[in-house]
Amino acid sequence: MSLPEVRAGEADRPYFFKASPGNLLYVYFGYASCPDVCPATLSDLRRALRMLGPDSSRVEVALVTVDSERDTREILRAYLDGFVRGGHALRPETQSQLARAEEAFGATSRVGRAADGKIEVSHTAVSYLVDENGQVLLEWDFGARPADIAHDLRLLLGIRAKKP
Amino acid sequence: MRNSQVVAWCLPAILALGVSSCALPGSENAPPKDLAGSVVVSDAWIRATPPGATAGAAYLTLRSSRGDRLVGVEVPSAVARAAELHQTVTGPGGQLTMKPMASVELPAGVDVEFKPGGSHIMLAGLARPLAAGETVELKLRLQKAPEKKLAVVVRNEQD
Repeated sequence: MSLPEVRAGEADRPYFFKASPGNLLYVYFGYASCPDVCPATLSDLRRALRMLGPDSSRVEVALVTVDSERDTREILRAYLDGFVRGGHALRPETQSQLARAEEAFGATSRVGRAADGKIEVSHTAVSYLVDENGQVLLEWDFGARPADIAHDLRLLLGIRAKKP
Repeated sequence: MRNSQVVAWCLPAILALGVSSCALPGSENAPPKDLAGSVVVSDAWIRATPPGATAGAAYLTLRSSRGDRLVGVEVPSAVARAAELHQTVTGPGGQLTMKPMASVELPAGVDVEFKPGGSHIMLAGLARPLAAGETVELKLRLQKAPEKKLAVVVRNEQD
């Protein structure tokens, strides 16, 4: 399972949801015009990574947009860079591509219209942590404290560092 | 509740004496704004937004002395198209979504918190990213108390 990764000044390439060997991959499904939950989650991630210090370079970050129609390549790239520079900005080209990725994580989303005609996005707001084999190691619900996220990351990075 | 008591106390005075105003007990010729009480704002902040974000959020805590209702918010500057009262709610399957709120009740003496993952003032249609350190003016429209102008500081989530 892969999604197109948006890269600045380069062509998209498929991204396979696996951390580099010895690293961990943080995955979140959100969208750039999300005012509350997505920026709160990504801000908390940024704080957790800061707490990790140099070890934060071993945590890769992927953001999947659930709203490819409004999140153009440029918007998504800039949005993710605003929180975590150099993260994987993943932009499904079709609804079925998004659905396959969501299914793999147990995430769901819906972009619809509210009664007043405005676009209304619903989405699960869980963060996932994936290893180099593409296995989901753990999930954080929305509102997980940065200190707890940093603690979990430190523990799992330590375990992986000790592997022969 | 308290206001209905005031009305109940005033009404016979108006009817009996034919006067168009009535004083509150203990305060002579109290202006109408005292009936409304005051609304105190604390912990107001707006999250800094990255490029690409088209919406932002303002958070604050409101406390009304006598009970009031927040009926609207305005952004006078061109930095955002509109400000809307929103609430993040959990729907079927754990999906989070935002629901607009027409107004927010401010019960007397109770802190009403707008915070991440709960209620927020959505700043829709951002003209540009909001940078940490700048301030954005917001106007709170209240049912009873006079309109309240705030200069809200933009910052990141607190460490």
